[in-house]
Amino acid sequence: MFPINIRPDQAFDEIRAFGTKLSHGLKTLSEIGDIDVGATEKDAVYTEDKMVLYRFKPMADKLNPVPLLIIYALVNRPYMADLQKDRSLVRGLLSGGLDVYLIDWGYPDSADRFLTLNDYINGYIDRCVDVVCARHKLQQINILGICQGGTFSLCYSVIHPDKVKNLITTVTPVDFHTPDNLLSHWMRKINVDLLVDTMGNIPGEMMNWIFLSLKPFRLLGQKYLDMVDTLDDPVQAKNFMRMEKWIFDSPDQVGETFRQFTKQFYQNNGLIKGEITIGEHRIDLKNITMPVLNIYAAEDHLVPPDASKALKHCVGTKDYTELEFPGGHVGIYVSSKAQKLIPSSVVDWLASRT
Amino acid sequence: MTEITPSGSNEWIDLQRKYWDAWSQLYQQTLNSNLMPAKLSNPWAQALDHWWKAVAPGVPQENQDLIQKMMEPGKSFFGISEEFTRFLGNLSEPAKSWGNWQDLFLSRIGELKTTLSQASTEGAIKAMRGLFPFFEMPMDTWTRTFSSASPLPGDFLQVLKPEGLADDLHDRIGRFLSVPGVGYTREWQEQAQRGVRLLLDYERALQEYTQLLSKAGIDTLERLSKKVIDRAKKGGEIKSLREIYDLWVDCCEEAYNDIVFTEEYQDAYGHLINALMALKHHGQSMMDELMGAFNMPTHKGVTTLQCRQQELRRELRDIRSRLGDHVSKADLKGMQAELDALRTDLDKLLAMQQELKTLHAELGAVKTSLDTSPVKVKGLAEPVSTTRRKAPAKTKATKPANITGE
Repeated sequence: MFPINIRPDQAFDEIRAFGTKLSHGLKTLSEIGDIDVGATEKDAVYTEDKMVLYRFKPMADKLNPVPLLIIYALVNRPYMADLQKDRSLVRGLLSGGLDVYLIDWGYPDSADRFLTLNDYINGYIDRCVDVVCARHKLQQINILGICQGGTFSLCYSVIHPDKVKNLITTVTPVDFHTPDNLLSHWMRKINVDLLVDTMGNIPGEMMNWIFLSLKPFRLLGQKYLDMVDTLDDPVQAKNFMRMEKWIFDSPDQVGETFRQFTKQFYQNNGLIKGEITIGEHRIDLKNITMPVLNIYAAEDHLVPPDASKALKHCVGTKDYTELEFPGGHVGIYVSSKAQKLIPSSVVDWLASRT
Repeated sequence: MTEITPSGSNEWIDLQRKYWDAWSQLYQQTLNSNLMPAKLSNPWAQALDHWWKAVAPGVPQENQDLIQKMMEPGKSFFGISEEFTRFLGNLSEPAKSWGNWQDLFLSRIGELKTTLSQASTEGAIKAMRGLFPFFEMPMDTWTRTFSSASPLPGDFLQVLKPEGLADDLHDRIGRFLSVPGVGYTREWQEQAQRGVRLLLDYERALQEYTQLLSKAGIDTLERLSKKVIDRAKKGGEIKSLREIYDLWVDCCEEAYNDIVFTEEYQDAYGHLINALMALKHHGQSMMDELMGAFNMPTHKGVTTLQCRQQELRRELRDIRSRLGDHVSKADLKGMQAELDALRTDLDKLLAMQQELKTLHAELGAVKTSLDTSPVKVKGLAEPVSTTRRKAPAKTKATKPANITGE
């Protein structure tokens, strides 16, 4: 029997319903107001150039005495970790008794074009760690890295193991040449020197194009049709708009850092080979001897699980823990499943190691 | 200004109904011709455009982009719905109920694949645009992303279409490139020729990339036909346009995913970006020559400044850091020496204090003995004076006033 059975009147009703939802959606959108992001109160405790180190206002009566520094990626903005009250990794960590700091890299411009990986890792990050240590009169703190920030955290921990008590990596690429890593597959034949020499800083729009090209038909088409279905609910519409704001809020990528990161990590896969050089330091992951918690997302299309799980065989620590999150690269921070699983796991893991 | 109210949506619905009626009527007339007049294509999308033009002035600016983003897939949705309705309409009613509908269905799919895979790239592109507007998404986003980064006024790359330049234009360009540069402007001529070569290379890269996407389009049709037939075998039915749309998106993503992981795509993707960058880089160099001639800041010069400025900042930080370390170490050493000296002085003072106590005790004893035995005092005059000779010497060295003074 022929499997497509759509009567003309049904088709008309369907299209009319779409038009009606879109029309009503305009009303919702016109009343939605400002799209606020970053739900939790915080203070800037240290600034340098465009970078700001924030400390979130503690929420628990009894605090873990060792503060946690979150190192975010250079791609997109760090408010992903604190998008809204009921979707906030930061809030979950604060409620669990952690004293949380976060590095916001800001929006680099052409004056920052020649900042290198060494400037970021041995410069900005190291000075932030020193600031946090000094504020708490400690020699070591806990570090949590997000995506590329996780890779930075690994490099930092290799160079400064004496300053890192416990290390947590989330959706962090380690093996950049797993067969399912589409981003890496695309980057192999690109002349990165020519790209950076021509563009200077890599525009945020270009980064958006690359990420959307991973799943163009869903991310540029189907997603917005789905949104039309939810437009009559102001809360859902606002949640959608927050995510939309985050997705397209893409800072430019500093040219030299992009060049070094792409060539050393994506094209040469140097991290697992021990061939990365940051300043004068060679990055050998065997030097990571502090406890490590590695969290990855089972359905991550940007950093495939195997790219993260490779860490297990590279680090020198005897205290290595892996946690799989049943979701995607962004869902690990903003989904309702994540709110229940991720912060409590981090809090408990740290509590048993403090 | 059009008010955005439910009443506005009623007008929109009425408008849709009119389009639906007109389209249905004409659709019936053209059913057997297998060709839809161009002016009637995608009436829903046109209606949506009309409606948007009417209401857009009343929509806050910050929401206009989002609405546009929702309208684009909306139009694709309408377009795909229309294409499928037409496509399925060509399967005659009796055929649908006969057992051989699959043969007819596959035959129709085969025709579409032939259209897409025809040797002429231009034909394939047109077919894609008509049947599969979805496959324009990656290219459209690419064009938008890089148009803003063009080094020349306006976007001269807009003239490059994926179907490539016309053959006669190619010939003329070939003649231009074969002329060697001579005379005073020789260097400039060579640079211009190099620019054209890079432009042609980018055009080739664009064609390669687009052809790969059209392969994905053909694969999408394969997958769609397989899914439809599989569903029929399981007794399933598709009852809504949205189901067709979602099925179509699944097939697109699967086909795209298979293509983008290939070495061929990796090469084409790399070639596309490298060719565009080479072209832009060359454009920057030529622009720099012009700017330099006007004694204006050049891209190259600014880049050098940025690099030097960053190096200077690093050096400055390094010097500060070393200086800071040096000063603090010197200070620390000095303070340590001072502390050691103070400790030595303190020890001496404590020892003197002890000696003084002893002397006080002795003096007290002497006084007592003098008070009780005056005769003996005379007899003891010598020993006492000996003691007294020694005592002042020590007292002088300790000098209690210095203790308080310090």
